[in-house]
Amino acid sequence: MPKHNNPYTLVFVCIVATICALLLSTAASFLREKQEANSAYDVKLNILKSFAVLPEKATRAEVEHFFINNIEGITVDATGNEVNGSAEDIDPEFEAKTKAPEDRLYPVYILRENDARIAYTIPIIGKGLWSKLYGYLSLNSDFNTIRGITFYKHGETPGLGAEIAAEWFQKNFQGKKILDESGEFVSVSVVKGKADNFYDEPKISHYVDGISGATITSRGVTAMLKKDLNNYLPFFAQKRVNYSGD
Amino acid sequence: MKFIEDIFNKLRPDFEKGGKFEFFYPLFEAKETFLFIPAHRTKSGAHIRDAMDSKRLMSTVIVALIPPLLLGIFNVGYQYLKAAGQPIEFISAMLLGLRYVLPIIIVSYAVGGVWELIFAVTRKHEINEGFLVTGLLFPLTLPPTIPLWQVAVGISFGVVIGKEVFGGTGMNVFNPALVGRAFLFFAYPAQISGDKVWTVTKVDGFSGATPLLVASDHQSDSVISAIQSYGIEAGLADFSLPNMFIGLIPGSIGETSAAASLIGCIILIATGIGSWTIMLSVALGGLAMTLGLNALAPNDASFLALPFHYHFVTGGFAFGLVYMATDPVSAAATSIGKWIYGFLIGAIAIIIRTLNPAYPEGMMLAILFMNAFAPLIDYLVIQKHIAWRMKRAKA
Amino acid sequence: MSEPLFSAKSKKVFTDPFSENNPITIQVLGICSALAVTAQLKPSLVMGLAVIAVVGGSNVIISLLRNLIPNKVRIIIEMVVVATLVILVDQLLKAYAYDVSKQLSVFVGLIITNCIVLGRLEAFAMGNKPWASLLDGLGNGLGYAWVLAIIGFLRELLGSGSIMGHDVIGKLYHAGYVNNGLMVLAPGAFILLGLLIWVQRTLSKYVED
Repeated sequence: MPKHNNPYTLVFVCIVATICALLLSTAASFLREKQEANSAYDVKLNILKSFAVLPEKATRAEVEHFFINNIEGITVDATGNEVNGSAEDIDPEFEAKTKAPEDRLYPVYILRENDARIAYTIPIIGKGLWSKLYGYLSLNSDFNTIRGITFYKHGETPGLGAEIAAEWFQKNFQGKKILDESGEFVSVSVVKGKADNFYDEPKISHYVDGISGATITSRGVTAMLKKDLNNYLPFFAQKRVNYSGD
Repeated sequence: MKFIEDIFNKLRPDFEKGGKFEFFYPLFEAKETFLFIPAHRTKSGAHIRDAMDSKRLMSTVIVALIPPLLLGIFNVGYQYLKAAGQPIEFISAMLLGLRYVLPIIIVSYAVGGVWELIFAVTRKHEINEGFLVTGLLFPLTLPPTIPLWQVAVGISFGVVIGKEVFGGTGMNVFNPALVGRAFLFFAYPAQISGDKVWTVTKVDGFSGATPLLVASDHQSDSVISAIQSYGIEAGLADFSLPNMFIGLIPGSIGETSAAASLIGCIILIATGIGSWTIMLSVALGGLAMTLGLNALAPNDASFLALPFHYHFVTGGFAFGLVYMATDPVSAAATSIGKWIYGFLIGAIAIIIRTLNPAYPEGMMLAILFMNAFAPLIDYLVIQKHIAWRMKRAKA
Repeated sequence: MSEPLFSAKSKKVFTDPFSENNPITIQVLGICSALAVTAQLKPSLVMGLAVIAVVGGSNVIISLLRNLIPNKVRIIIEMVVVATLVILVDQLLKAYAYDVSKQLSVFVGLIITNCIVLGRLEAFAMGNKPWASLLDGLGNGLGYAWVLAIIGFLRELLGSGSIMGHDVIGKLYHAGYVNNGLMVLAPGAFILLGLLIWVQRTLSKYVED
């Protein structure tokens, strides 16, 4: 093996480093657009899932097309007023970590049909048993009836807590109400066992069936719904007035 | 007896080397030596022998398992009738219990036995009698509603991964029955935890929690009254202290009765087979940890506030203490080691029960955990002993 | 000194890592990623391909440079080359296979620390010609990939009841079949890997010494 002196080593290292750096920065700048589109697409897909409007086997083009034509993202502040800015730019997890509730900005995604706003989706984030749960909750334009819920990321026990991602669990939420008859916010709770064993009309509309053996995850879902919906109440109240007005 | 012996002697040439059933010698040997003390002698080294060889040892454990087995069978029927709101008669409860428990035991023995035979034949050794105990212990740790195919999967895992991969009986690090149960517990949690699985019933939407489940999740002001009132409110089994001691509560087949386990405990200690050191130290470890946690409990409603006698009569504490922790292969072997091993099992079981939000019962995990540490405990005890002797020799 | 491209020797270099000298089942390297990414078949396959590309690529590059690399900064140069390739693969996955790259998360990046890669560079590429190094790299990558594929296949089949996302259990669920939750968790991979090593070593009559 030839003996290399120090200047040689230095030059060699510099050359290798420069080549690698050049290669990587070229690749990164070429691919960035595509990567960002991918990650934006992922968000869109999950939002559409919570609206429950997506056909089973929609292609990417269809999803993008639907999103552009029918979904509107807005940002609201803690008092419920719409502020400038796009919903996509707000990371609710980052907001929650760095700001007090009254200083945060909250993204809302709106589903339109022939120019009428028919449903609203908000991100929900909370703690399960082992992991953080991420999802979206969608309300009809009465700001009371749940249209759909989806969980797209979690690390709960397979067969138990992981059932929150299952269709039967998410279906249970559809049509439930977050307000009681006098209009007070009560949220929706996950019970232990079957909801209709414990509650009758009208209370049953605030409760959904739990997952057997996954008490902590169920409680986590209940808590995250209450916490996240609570932040949007001013916005809902404002919109609800407008809604009943027309 | 004589005529059975004659049959064996007549059949023997067929199974010995060169016979037409040579392949099945392990099976023949197993049946013969289970019934008769073998004639052959140990081949090397100095051995002290008495009438207790490992087969006699195992059959005593089987005898000691009869009380929890019978009570478990009765209790399955009892819970069934109670849930259906029917009058409880001894005979009908026993028959109902047998109908659900017997298939589980048969599957456990049959499937586990096939694995034993496969390994005995391919490794050319005799069938290990330890399986007779494992094959019965395993079903007793399961809920009565367990699907039979899961019993088969569980015992297969217990025998193959829990024992045979380590080289067979005597080489295993973990108790095979508990390895099988732990596998089912993590693989099919919906069939072995929660409040739906502990009672065999035809009543739709029936749910009946175990006392520990109630204790881990209740709305009452006091954890004791939460347990005691649970069964009465739901019109189910009575969760009073005496009833939990006798074992007429929902739970795994063999584990509900502390009383039956104590009878087994007396048999094992009287015959000198089960280590009383381990049993006592498990109880002491549980007691010490419970007292400590009681002192830390923020209020009466907390699981931490549950007194030790409740811990002792609920869940698998008594059953695990008597039958699982004392398994001589997977337990610590030195006498000081046994104290440490047992004490930590009791303490860890209570910690898992009260402090882990996911698992209301911790006996199985505590025993498996300490199984893993048993060799290390023994090693340290022996090293310490050697060091002490060296010091004394020098002085 | 010229040697045919597919001589017996180079064939052995290529095929040895499949079984007799498998990086996972014999050398027990690269276990971390083998446990982490194999819950489903698709990410397992992609991870296998990524490792094949990185090991093969870095083996060739280092072999080409082997006489130029100053000995005292050898490892650093190797790491830089490996890291560059890994980041490239990661970027490509994010651009063209976003779903899979999300599932693989940090484990693509962690190929940099995979012992197999640096091990092959040190043990082979530094002392052999590019062609042989390429074969060695591809062979070891494949040896890693097939183990991942088997474990990914079994875990997805037993844990989620599907293969490449397609349900294969169907009616069995009505008969009472339940997916095995343990297989979705890392310990399930650990058990399967252990069984695979048992079977593979029994077949190849390997004895630990």
